[in-house]
Amino acid sequence: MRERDAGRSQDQDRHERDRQDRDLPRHEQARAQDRGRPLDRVRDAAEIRRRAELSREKERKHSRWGHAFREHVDATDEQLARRAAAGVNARGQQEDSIPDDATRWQSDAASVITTDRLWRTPEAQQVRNEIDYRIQAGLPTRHSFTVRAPLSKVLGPNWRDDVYGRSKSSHGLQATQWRTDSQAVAVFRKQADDGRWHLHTCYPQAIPYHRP
Amino acid sequence: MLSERLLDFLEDWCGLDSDPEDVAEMLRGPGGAYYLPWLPGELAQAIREHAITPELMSSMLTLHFDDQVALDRWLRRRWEAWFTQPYPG
Repeated sequence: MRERDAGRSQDQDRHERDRQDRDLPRHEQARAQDRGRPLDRVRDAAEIRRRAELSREKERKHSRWGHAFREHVDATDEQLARRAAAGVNARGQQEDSIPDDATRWQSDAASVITTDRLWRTPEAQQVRNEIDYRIQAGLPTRHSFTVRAPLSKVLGPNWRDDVYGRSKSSHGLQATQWRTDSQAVAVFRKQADDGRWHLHTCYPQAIPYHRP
Repeated sequence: MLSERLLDFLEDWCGLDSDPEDVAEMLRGPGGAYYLPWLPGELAQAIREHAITPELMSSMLTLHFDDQVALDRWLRRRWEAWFTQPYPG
């Protein structure tokens, strides 16, 4: 029953989006048509730039909503090394735990494409629909979810070019050692301020995690 | 054995770059109705049984803790930021 209702809600959302899209200027209509298509690094370079700038702007404006770019794209090598050695992140905050690896994406495209693909996974869609349904029904629910996928699946065979990090085990002196099954991780949160989903963080994780 | 919902909470709210104050705010706000009926009890049991281990935190959240004592200190700081009940450890 709940799944059927969640599905109906999804249809209603789609119809509402289609209705809104018909009222858009032509270039915006084209963008709306592309909404259902996964991003391609070359074909969608302009859209990737647009999303990256929007994300940076959002992180500046709402610093507590997310930090994917500040910590995992724009962080310098020195900042990653400092974080891996001493737990001081790229924003200069001393954290009370140090990551095994301080990592980043090597380009805006790697971060934006990863976020887009993780957002579109069936697992992410299912949990998002369930949370949205429960909120609409006035039922208690979580307002955040985490999604993971192998980097090779998200970014293709050349994914190692897209990731970089410094390891804690070397006190930040050496680069992260990646594995064939290393993962991409994203956390999405529904913000009470505007009632919408926003990316909280997205980063590459060297040692994969699987639920016990 | 940690429940799926407790593992979800740890992944969603306690990972890399997480801010305990964000969690406190979430619990005071719309997330409270969902989490507060079960989270303090399940988390307290996990703390007492040392079911949240440095190995789990490393593999799940990439957070490094030298030992269980260091992890317990980290959990205690968060517990005291989130709940009014005394720390169960």
